[in-house]
Amino acid sequence: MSAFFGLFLNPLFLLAVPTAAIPVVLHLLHQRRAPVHHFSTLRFLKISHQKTARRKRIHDLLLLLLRALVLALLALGLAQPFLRSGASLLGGTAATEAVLVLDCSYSMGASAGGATRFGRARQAAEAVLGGLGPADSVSLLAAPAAGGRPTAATSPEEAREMLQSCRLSYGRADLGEALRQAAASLAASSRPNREMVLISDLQRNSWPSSPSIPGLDPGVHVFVIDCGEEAGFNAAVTDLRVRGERRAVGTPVTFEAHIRNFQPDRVRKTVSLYIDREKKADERIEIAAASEAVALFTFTFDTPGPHSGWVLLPEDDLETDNRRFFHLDVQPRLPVLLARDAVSAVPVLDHVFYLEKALDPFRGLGHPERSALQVDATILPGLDEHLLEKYPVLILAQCVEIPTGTDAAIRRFVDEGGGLMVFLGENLRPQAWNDFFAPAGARPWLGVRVASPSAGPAPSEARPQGLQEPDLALPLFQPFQQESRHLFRQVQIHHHVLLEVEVADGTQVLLRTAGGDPLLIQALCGRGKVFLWSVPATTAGSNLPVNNLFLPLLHRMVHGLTESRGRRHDFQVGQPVQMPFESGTVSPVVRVVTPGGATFEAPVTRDGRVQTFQFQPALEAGIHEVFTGGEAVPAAAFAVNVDSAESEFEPLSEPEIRRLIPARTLHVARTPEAVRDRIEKIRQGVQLWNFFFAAVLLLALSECFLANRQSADRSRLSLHPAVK
Amino acid sequence: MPRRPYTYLEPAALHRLGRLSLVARSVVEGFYAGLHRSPYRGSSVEFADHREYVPGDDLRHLDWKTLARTDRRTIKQYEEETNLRAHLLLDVSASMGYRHDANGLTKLEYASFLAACLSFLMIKQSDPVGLVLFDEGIQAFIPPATSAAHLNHILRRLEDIRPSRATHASAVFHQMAERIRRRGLVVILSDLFDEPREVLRGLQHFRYLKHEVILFHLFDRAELEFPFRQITQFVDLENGERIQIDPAYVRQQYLSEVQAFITEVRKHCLEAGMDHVQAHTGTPYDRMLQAYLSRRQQFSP
Repeated sequence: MSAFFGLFLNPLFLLAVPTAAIPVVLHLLHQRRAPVHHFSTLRFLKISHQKTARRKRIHDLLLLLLRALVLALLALGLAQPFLRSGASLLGGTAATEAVLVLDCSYSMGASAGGATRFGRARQAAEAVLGGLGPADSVSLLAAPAAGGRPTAATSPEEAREMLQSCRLSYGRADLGEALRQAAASLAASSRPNREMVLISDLQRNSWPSSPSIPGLDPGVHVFVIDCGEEAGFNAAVTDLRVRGERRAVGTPVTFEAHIRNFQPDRVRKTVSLYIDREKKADERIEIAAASEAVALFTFTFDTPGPHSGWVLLPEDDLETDNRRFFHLDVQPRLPVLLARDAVSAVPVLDHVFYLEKALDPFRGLGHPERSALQVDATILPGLDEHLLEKYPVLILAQCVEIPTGTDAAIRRFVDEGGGLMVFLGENLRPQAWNDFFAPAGARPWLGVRVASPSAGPAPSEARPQGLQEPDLALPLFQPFQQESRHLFRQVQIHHHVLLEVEVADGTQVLLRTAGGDPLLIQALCGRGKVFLWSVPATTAGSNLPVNNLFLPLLHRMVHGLTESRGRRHDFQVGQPVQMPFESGTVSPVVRVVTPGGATFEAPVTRDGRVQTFQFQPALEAGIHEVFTGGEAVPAAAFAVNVDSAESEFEPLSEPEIRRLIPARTLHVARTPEAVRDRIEKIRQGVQLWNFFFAAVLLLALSECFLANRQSADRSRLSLHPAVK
Repeated sequence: MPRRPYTYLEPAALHRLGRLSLVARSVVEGFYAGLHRSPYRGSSVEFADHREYVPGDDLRHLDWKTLARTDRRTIKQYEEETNLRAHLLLDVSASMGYRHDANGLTKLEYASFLAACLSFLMIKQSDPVGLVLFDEGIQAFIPPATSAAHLNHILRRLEDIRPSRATHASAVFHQMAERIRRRGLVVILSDLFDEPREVLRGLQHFRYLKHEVILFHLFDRAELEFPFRQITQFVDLENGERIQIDPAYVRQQYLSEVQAFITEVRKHCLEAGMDHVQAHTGTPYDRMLQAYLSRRQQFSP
């Protein structure tokens, strides 16, 4: 109903439309007041009446209709109706409400022929704004934008200034959401012409898969201006993985850069690694058409503390995706805590003897700085939360059982991101360990059950068994793929604990005995990780502790345990950042300084010893630094990278656009010039009241003609031939 | 030539004059003075004498037998006998009482004047004239006579006429045709607003019995012109029937219907050898009578 009244500028005059009934009323009254005349005979009158009644009825009806129409159209004309759209052949310009949706995703930064898509988009927006008058209203929606809502409606002149302040973002556009917001904004407008103008490179990944613009008024004209030129050359760093974020000085770090070639031609690229703003390495790779390749860099940090950097590709048509950032904290030495039931008086019989030797081979040799790990040993009864807070990795060696209270502390330690490695010995109490793995009354913490403390034959009659061929593609075993793979064949297992493993998400068996029993199990628990050996860390169960495999594998496992899933240091543009950090200062907020130098405050929540700040959304790509209180040294940092899906230039076809935008009138143009004329024609709505008044005039003339014909019949009273 | 006093005597003025006898006399005397001879001929013409033929005489009256026998050219002279019996049939139905102009005459009044004039004219020529008043049936019958008293009787009867009921002329005509034994002149003054075919059949009956028929077909001017402008409820004078009509729509059709009616009557009269004289109440009597009598003279010897 309101839409109907919205078609009139003075809808109050619609109240006068019922005056159209006046001719009918007058007709009825007039008929009632007909004078009586006594006539000689009705013979001829009746015949004449019968013969002319039909014509008279039509004539009367026509006259009545004309008179009623004159009055109705007069009332409608005074109500000033207008046509929302249509041809402008007959002149008139109706007020326009326009919402400009400007795609600011980083793919709009692609250049071709010396101009970027975003530059062309601005020109198109200028052209659209240039056709608007001072009485028109326009809103601007930069997609993606904070909150994703259009700006308040303003004059075209102000919108032009706002347009100048629009900048390319590092994010990916959600054009479906942007158009929904634009439709909602237009739905509230009552102006005759309502336009939604989308200026974009129409990149496929910016659109939803199905039409999703509910509430789009059929009267809204949708213009889509494609600013994407012919796709240029583009390769992008789509991912950068740093193996183990909690790295220590002297420990090689592997950077795995994934490079994707979006072109249909094979290319060669030099990929550079920058750390702390200095180029550290180059890697030359060749990438097949429309496929991906990996550039591997290994770097050993010699100073502890936070380190940032990026991987960089050479210049191409889209710069934004050529760089991918990382941030990691390098520890001086990684603290590892070893725990066993008791300390043995004979060192070699101590359960952690081989572990200590393997984890810290330089101990006692006078070169403590060479050690990558700081290994401390304790006994299980002395293990508590306070002690665990100091270590990211805990190794339990041949414990009979885990005391009550300590088990919960260990589980919590892991759940919060700690790493746990367990060597099971044949002296264990199965029930106690099963209770640790699956606490009573709670969901199983680990999908493992001790079936038997000893699965091997008696040592006297034992024939040791080897290992099944391991899957060397697993990240843990990748360093052993080439010349070191024979080390696995040298492992001899005498005794092992028989485990039943429930393989599920996050739980997998990494090594098996030749008989197929699980030997090494990896499991994810909460934000932490667990490695579970079914053999002890002594030579009592296997020759593993004295095998050349043991030391590198153990170190790799320890570093693997520090790959805490809760400690993310890299995020994507547009996503909220939630990151725990360690600081001696406790503050309700932290300051986040973006790569561009802008500073934002982010709230901090504290859960036990862990502080977590929340910052959203991240809008810039690069390294963000986090400061607590008034400190000048950042307490933490994180890297934000662009969504590599935006690097794909594949545009939507016009039929696809028409399917996704269910508008009654949709105009797609490849150039701003092509759409400008069309927009101007559409904007010139027709002021219908002029036509209504013209119709009134025409009808009045018709009425006069018909009425005069009647009148002429009355007045043409010349003498009838019969009289002459 | 003396001035003809009736020339500009309009019916409206006659209406104001009042008495019929005076009006009829003034009309007929003036008219009679202008005539050379009576157009009426008796049913028999008797021979009176011979005289010598002089050039210019009508050869139809040459006595061919005497010429053949004696070779003398003589002309036969006749003595006229005015024994023409005339019946004036005056329609007094309600429709004859219609007049559109309040100052004008009703058709009945107009017919009465006409009847008075004709009666005066005939009795002055010693022709017996009778009067029949009819509507659905015969309302009054005055047999033909020639005396002055008879004329007065007719005139008085005419002055007392009031329009009455519906017309059923055809039945009356049949009835009168049977009633008038001796051949004569039948003058009908009526609007003939009855079933046309029946009426014409009744008129034919007079002709079948060798009567000479003169039909004065009378109308009001409004009946011929239909001058009404606004939507009007028309009431039939004869049966009270009502109909509401916008004259603008029916006028043309109405005029066509009336014209067709008149044409049919006239055609039938001509075919049957009857004189059809159409008149409306605005027409001066003399013009109508002169036109009629002139036509009669064409057929006189």
